[in-house]
Amino acid sequence: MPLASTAATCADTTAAGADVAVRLVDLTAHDEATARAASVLTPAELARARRGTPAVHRRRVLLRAALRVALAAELGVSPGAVPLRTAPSGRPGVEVPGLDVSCSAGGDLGLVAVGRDCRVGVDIEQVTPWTTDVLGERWLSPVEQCALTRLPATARAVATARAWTQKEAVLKARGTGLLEDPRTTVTPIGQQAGTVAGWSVRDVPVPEGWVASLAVARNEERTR
Amino acid sequence: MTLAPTVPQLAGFRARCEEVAGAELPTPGALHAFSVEQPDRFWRTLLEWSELPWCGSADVVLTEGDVETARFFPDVRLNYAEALLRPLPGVDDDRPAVTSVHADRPVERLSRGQLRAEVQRTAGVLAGLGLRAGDRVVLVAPNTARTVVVTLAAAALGAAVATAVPDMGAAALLGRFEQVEPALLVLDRAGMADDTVSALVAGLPTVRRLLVLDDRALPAAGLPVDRLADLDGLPGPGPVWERRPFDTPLFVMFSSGTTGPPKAMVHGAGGTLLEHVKEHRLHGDLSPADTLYFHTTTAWMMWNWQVSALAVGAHVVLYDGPVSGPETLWQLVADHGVTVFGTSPAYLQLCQDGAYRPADAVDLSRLRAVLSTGAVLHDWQFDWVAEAIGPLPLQSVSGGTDIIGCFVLGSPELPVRRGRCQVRSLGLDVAAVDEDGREVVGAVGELVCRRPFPSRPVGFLRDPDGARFHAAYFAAHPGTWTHGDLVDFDPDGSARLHGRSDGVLNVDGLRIGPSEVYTALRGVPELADAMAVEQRDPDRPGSSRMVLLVVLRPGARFDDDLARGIRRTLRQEASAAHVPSVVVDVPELPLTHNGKRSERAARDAVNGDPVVNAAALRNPECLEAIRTAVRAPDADVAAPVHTGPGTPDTDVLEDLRPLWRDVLGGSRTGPEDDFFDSGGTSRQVMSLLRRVRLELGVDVPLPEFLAEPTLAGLTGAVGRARSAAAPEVPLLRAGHGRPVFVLGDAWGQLNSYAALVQQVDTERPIHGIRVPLTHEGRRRSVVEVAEDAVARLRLVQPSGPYSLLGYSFGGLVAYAMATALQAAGEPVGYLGLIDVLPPLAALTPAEARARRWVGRVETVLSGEGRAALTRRLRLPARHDSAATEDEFFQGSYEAANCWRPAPYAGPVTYYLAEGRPPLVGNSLAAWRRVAPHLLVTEVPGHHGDHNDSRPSVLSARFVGSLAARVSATLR
Repeated sequence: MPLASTAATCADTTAAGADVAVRLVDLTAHDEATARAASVLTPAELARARRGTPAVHRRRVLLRAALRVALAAELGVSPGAVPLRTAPSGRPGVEVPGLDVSCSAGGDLGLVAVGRDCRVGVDIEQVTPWTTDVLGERWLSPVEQCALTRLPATARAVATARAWTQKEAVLKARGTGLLEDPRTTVTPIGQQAGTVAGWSVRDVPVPEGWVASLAVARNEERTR
Repeated sequence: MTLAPTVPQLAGFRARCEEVAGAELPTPGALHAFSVEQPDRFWRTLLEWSELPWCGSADVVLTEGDVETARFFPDVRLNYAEALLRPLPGVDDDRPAVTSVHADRPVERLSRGQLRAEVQRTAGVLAGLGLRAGDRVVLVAPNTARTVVVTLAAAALGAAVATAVPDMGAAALLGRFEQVEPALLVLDRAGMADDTVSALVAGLPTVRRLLVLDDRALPAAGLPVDRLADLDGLPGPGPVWERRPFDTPLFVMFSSGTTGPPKAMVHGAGGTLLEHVKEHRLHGDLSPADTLYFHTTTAWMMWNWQVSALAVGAHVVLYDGPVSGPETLWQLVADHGVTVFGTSPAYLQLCQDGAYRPADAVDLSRLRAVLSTGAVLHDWQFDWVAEAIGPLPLQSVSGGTDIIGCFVLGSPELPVRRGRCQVRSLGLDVAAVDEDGREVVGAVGELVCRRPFPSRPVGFLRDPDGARFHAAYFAAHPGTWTHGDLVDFDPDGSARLHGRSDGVLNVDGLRIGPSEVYTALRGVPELADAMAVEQRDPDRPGSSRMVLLVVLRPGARFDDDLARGIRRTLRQEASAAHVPSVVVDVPELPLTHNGKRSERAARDAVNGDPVVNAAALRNPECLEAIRTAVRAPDADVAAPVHTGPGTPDTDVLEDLRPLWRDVLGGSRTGPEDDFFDSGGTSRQVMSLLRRVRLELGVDVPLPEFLAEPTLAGLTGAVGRARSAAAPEVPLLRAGHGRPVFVLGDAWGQLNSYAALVQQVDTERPIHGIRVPLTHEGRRRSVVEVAEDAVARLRLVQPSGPYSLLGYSFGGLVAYAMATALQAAGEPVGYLGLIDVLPPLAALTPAEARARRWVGRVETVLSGEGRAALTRRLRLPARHDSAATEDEFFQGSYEAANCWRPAPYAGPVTYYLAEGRPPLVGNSLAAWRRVAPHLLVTEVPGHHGDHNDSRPSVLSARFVGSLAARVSATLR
């Protein structure tokens, strides 16, 4: 499958013992590859992708196709036949007991995560230069703001991006997304792994310039 | 009088099935499984248990084949009329069989014995006119005993009958009956246009004789014409009860014909009889102790269905008259001791919207069940029935003309689950399937029936090779009956219908069920009705988009604000995919003669295609209006942004545009472009909202933005956020100083004030207060509305003095608010009442009498209101928007009139419409009694409401004077 060649896989076993596979996806394919990827999408997925600008369209097609390819390998079916659904909240879901998925795009890189017997959330973000504007954006709790300002100035850009991805990963795993106030999910600023609101959170290795986080909870441990 | 059986008949039948099956069938699911897995045993047991009269052999229940080809009981012979009219053991022949209620003549009642004799005599007459087995009869007559007699007489002779209502119009009648090739035409011309008779005779060349049932002069028709009452039967007992094969044609029924000429389906005597007896006895537990009234016309299969209730010994009530209001049918139920009443979701909604409570109004002590069919019955209607009628089962049943019966219906053994049909029909292997034909449970799928059933049509007319029959039901899933309805089944076997599957929209490959759209739109009070249809996208060949046709309640105005509200509601209540590209306001939606909505006709109209069979519609003239509305240049309200008079939205949008552009990195965006579709990320949302806070000083909550992540949506969110925590108190015009509040009408609408708000000369800001009379489906009292309004008012202006202004209903609310504020010790600086009639409860008896008299005069004078009412009276099955409007007003009058205003010590400025009839002048006395400081100012114009089309004091023509007076008071 040509799509697989652009995706680096990092099989991943978290501290919780959950089984999660995360793939990095290159979202810069040329038109022909995008068209090929589009061929495994459902009409609804294509329609959603088409609503976006050309760049958004390409990213959505490639990310969704990568998600299908990852699941196809897992289930032993063709990518087009993967029973992938989208909840009204926008969260993807697969109609196979015990399997959970999440995906994220940050500029030209995407991530797809497939969890077995666990609930997963991933998020990837491009690192942007630090500015104090961040503190006025009302997504960091006072504790986090305080911790962030105590870091050396050179570390703040990455720490900010990481805090965001950790929050988003947890909110996505929960299924609420930003409908829940992000300030109430408090992250361990400056740390690559930890526990956030009962979710095991850790960094996903991605190229320089990006930060990505994965949130996992085993099905039986998940309380909410 | 027979006592109602305490154990349902189903229990006895189950015991028989358990004997036959040699197994216990303790649950409804087990019995249903047996009925479909062992069809031979089930249907034979049913035939024997039912004790219907038949002869021959039931050894062969079912021939080889699938749903399309298998035949039931090839060696059984029976006669439908005999089965309905036979003397029943334990049932007195003098017990009523049929009670026929008419609008224009006395009730007619026939006992079982009389009905049998009358059918026998009439069969003799028909035989004398040359009617023979195998002939077909067209019977155009209303729902009366005479119509039942003629139908059964023809059936007794082995002729097939096709019925319809006289007011259908010649084109629609011929569209159906031309295919029937009848030998005999029978007409009851009450309500029939004069030229219809000649058109029918000319259009049905196979007719040998014309028989009329009414007393009007015989028409000159160029063929032998007789009046039934003038004819005697053949001497001696004719061969009336001859038993014929199971599949002998009994009824010819028609599809609505919105997808082509109506399909003429032939239903067999045996299949029809067995299905109906099964449904009546096993699912409805109908017995000789019951009186059934099912509101129907002769053009609908429920008519045939209810006639069959004679076979179980039930007493059937027929009604030929108008439904003049919510009380009509309940009165009928009470008057005739109806035990089982069948109606439609539309009628129940009419009652609910009219705040009519049947249990309070009439004696329903004999009623034991309410049935509903014809459309999707909503959850809230179950609550309403429980509350306003009583703890009766509300059984939603659904099937079709095509099977002359039901796929899903009631059960005497199970409680009713809100919003759901209780069980699958016994013996019918009904399921919901996905596009690949796999059964789905707990999800919406296409309704199919996978195994043969006896009430499948014997075939279509004019379809010698069965190709049309095949295409109609078997093309989608070979060997399986695909009905064209969407349904979901729960694991408990209960079902909910979701409308027609051909009404499903396919917008860019996304399948959207219109019923989800309609359910969400229930929350938009301005809408009386709506229809979502798919249109070929003129801008993107090969793509399609959703057009939403809306019918407004009169008084509501269609503008960008309303269109945006509709979109927002759909986005929030359904999903982004349910948001239409185009919203247009139309006067009416296309309806078939049975009152069913024709999405197909609407779709053809919005696409500019010829409508395949406009004759199938009751209101074909609405199509032109739809075409025009869709073609109008301003039809597409997706693009333009709200620019209402006196509102700051355009300014806000222009303030937001640069922020939006900055955050998205300079890309150009239309006001309706989605933030994420334009490349925005969640993280950038945080940045955008920070900028909005800094530069506009407005805190837009994150979920607010996500609900409508567009520039226009953000503009709206800013506006709402600016109205503090009070979205119901929108700023209509910006200004300085203490605000002036205007009170919305009974719908919470503020449109009627638009011109006044523009023209009032004041520096002060003007806010509206939107507090509709109906809240969460419940009608509130004026006091409750006022309390709500005061609470909202305080969010914007925490303390007085307050300035309140209201017109008509809004004036009553303003007055009630002023008294409440006064009681709370809050000063009210200004209370303006614009031509507000005091409620009846505040009048002396003499004043009340005078008011009612004037009301009548005004109603008679205003032709438009009357015309709407008259139209409604002719359409019993369904309320149109005018009726809803009328009912709503009735309800708002009731709410208003039973309120007694409290004394108010402060000054009141009363703007009296000069055009008000003089008699009403004394109603000011009623205001003066409670508000002694009443200052009356006359202003030019009329009151103007839904029944008074003359320009009101708020109309563009007269508002200048009113605005000048109001400005003077405010200065």
